[in-house]
Amino acid sequence: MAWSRRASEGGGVFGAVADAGARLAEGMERRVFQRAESGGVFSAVANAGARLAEGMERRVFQPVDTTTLKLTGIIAGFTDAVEKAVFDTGVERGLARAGAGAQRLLLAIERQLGQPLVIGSILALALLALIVGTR
Amino acid sequence: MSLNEVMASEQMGFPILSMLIALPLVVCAALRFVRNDRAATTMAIGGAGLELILAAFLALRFNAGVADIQFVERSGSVLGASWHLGVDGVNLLFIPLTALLGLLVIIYAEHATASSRTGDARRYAMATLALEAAMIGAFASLDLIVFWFFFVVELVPSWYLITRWGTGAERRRAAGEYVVFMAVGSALMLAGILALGRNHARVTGDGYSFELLALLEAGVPAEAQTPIFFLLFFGFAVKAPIFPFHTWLPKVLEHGPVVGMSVFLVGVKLGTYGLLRFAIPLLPAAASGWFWLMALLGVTGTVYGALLALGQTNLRRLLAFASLSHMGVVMLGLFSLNLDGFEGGLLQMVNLGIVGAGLFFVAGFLVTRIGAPEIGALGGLIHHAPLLTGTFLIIALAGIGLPGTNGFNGEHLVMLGAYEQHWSMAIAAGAGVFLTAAYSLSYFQRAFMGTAPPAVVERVYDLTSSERGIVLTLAALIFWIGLGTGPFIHTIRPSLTALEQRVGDGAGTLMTGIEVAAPGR
Repeated sequence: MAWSRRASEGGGVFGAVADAGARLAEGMERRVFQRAESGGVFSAVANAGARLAEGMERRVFQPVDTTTLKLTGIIAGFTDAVEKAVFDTGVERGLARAGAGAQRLLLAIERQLGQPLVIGSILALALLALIVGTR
Repeated sequence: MSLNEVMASEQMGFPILSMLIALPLVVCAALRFVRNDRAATTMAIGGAGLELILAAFLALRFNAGVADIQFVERSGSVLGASWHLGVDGVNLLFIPLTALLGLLVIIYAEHATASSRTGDARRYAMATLALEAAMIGAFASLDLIVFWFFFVVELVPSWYLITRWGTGAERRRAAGEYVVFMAVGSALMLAGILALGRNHARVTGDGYSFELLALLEAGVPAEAQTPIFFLLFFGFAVKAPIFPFHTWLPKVLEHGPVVGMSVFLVGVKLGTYGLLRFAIPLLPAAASGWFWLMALLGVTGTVYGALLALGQTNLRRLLAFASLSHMGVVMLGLFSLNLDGFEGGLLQMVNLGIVGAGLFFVAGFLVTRIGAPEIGALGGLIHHAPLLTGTFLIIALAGIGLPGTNGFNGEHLVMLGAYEQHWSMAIAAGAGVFLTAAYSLSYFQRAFMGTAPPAVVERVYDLTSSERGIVLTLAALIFWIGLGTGPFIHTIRPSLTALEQRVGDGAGTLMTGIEVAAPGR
């Protein structure tokens, strides 16, 4: 737009306001922030903050971290022991043993059921129960 | 509830059911005079093929959607028994299934007999045809004495097949045990049948009758139902087999012939079929009163059979225990005593006929190659026989009840029916599916995956052309019933709806007053 170009490049009210704003920003930069970086109040505050943070890190967080690591180690050890005791030994080997045992038991039952005397007795008992129950 | 009879003379013009029984017997008699094994096998295949065409014709002409008993044939009564045959939704599917498996077994007869000590494909085909005739006779019978006659006659070819072509060392002992079990079961069943006939004479004053419809019409007083129910049950339980009357089956399947047992496995469905056809409708009060005991036996058989199957290393023994487990699921369906349970139970009987026969064919293929389907001698079959491996996997998945296969809808309906009766029965049916997956996939992993031992590398080859024909037929059936279950349900539903109504009406009451129409429409 022609009026804004005129304000910034050729002067006038807009040009004056823009120049004043730029000068204020430049002064702030030079007097406040550059001084804070090289010393003075801001530097002291920043340094104190850094020291505080470092102290916190060394005295609070590092011991907590170490304790957490130790705690994690204990938990991991416990989990490992549980894994070995319950899942490896109990479930894996236990299931295999229980499965094999159940198979042996079922096969034994099957062998017994296959005996003429056993199946004959079952049938005879069933018939007896039928006769007694329906008299 | 009304049951109509439609005579075969009206519907077909000739006695198709009698022909289905007679044709295998005629071919069997004709084979007696053929001396050459190859010519005998060809002739037997022709006869069994004709039988299948006739059975397919019966199924196509069957009027689905009604509960009527169709293609009825009836002769005069002799001592209360009569030649009374007919089909409805309950028994129709078993007839083409038996004919189909009979044909497949005969097609494989030469290979099967070659692996036995005796050979003789001609006599093997004769025994298979006789077994087929007896089974179709039993499935088509509507007179309890005629049913019992075929039930007993079936023992002869079965015993002959086991003793002569059995591959195990203890085949004679297994056959003997089978005969003893069946004889005791048949005797108890006959006592139950005679009690039903006596009850008919007492109630109607018309003398003894063993016709299903006459017995339904007469009804059985509630207080007399329990003893008769258990007498029939013992006979059917031994045949099915149901825990704890199953101990003959593992021995027979392990030591019996290579694939002849495929037809035999449909024959054992006569046990649970008998419960659905005769025991439940004739004695509904007893069935309702004792459903919990039947369900308990079903649950026990399901879990016990599956756990034993899980530990088996021989495929044939595994199939025996799997059959026991599956029969438990069928029992759960039947004794849910509702439509879903009946439909699921009946569909499962047909499905297990296909799956059991299919797996037994696979076991037979392995026996002809390597001697025995023992885990120790197998492994890595997928690398040497990929088609055989794929066949086993498809059939095993059908047994598990994978959606898209025939097992799914049957299992699903059994679970629905069981849940309607009691939630614990549904859990037991679900456990059956879970355990089936465990033992089937475990065997698959151990026998078909991994590294092949030297014996497999040297001796195992993939399916031959006749074997491919057999497995393609079975796979087509598995996917046909699995993906297009609707027409099958449509066929069986009316008869089972009538049965459910009868059970509902009759539970705990005096059963009389069924309206049975006169022969013809």
